[in-house]
Amino acid sequence: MKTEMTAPGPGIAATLNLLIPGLGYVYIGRRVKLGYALIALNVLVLLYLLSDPFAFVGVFALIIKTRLIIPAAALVVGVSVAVDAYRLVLRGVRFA
Amino acid sequence: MKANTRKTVILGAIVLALYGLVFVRIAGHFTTRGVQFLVDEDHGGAPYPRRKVESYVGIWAPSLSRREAAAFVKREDFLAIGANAIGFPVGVDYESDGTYKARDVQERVERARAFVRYYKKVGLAVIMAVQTRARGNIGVGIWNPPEHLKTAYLKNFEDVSVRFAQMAEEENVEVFAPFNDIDRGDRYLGPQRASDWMQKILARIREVYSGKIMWKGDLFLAVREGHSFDLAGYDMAAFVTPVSAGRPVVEAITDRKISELRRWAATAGNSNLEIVGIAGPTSFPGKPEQVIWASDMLFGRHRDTLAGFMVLDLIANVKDPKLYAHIQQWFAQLNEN
Repeated sequence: MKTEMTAPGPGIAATLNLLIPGLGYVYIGRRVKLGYALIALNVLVLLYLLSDPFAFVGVFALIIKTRLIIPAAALVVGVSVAVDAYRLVLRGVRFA
Repeated sequence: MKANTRKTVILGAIVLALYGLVFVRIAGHFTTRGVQFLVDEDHGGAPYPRRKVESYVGIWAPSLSRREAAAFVKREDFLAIGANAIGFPVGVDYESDGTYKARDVQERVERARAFVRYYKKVGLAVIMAVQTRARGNIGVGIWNPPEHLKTAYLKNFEDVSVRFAQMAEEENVEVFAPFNDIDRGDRYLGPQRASDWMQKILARIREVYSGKIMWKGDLFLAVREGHSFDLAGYDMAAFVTPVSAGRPVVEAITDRKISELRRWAATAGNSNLEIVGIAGPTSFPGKPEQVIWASDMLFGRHRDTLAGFMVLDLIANVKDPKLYAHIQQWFAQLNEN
């Protein structure tokens, strides 16, 4: 039996997706697989950064070489999933 | 609590905790607290005497200008592992026109002086190598500066190297290398220019420095492409085992580096050249087990021919318990030599 519950706030979903891409999807229960995949990717990157101090050097060098491309791409992804989660909530989300 | 909310909180907490850890690590990367501690403790006072070392056994640390170097810089660590020497490069970045800021040079000289004193105070011999790279280039990847810049930064580096040599003399540094890895791919000066510069600077260094002078090179390109370096007048030469190559290749190139150094020394009439081998990982940035293999290969195969045995402490690998115990065992054996 499914129970209709109060839909979460779109702002919360968007904020979660912006802070941790994928978490907003898990929160609203839509595109959950994508959400987990994004979170897993996030965790992998973070673990890589933690496991290898020299990774910072590599990451910074890459950012320097590519200038604003990487931060801009990350921002675009973050904003995209945030907007997507926001719109999904507005369209109506069922909590099961 | 709703199922989704619970999952969100748990996952969010995990990822945020990781964010926090990464933030702490990045903050630690930039802080100079570890470096400052050493500088403050050992600044001033009379210099320590120059040691006579038969066989240099120790750690080749990453550049002391980097925070990552501070992970394994405590002199107690070096003594505990059985080292009698520390080697390290000190760097001054050049500007976009190939010049060096006098203030930068002075600051780095004084920082290096503090490190030298810090290690020499407990009897460690110091091998100091001066290096340079473009400001903003942090040493990752192949980087080939335009021709006019190569000429400019190399010419201007002569005075910088001499300034460090003066300090090395004042502090009785055991070994001084005028340029660290001048022949490395990312400086890409070409073997002839590298060789010529090292000969040209030698005379100027001899005027101000009375310790041993080292030709510290990468040697990979020279060995692979069949070039040679003029080692006339140099007391020592050092190289690191190659990275980014399979083990059979590393072994073969290491053998070639040693045999070529001997051949170049013989050609230059320099039969007393002492060779220091530095064992490093076989890939970048490398794993402890690679350094274990490299040290076995280098120290085991060339124990009787090398004058120095060092381990490259890239990313403070040496603190890995297995590698630490392995290196400690090697150093104990080598010190008995």
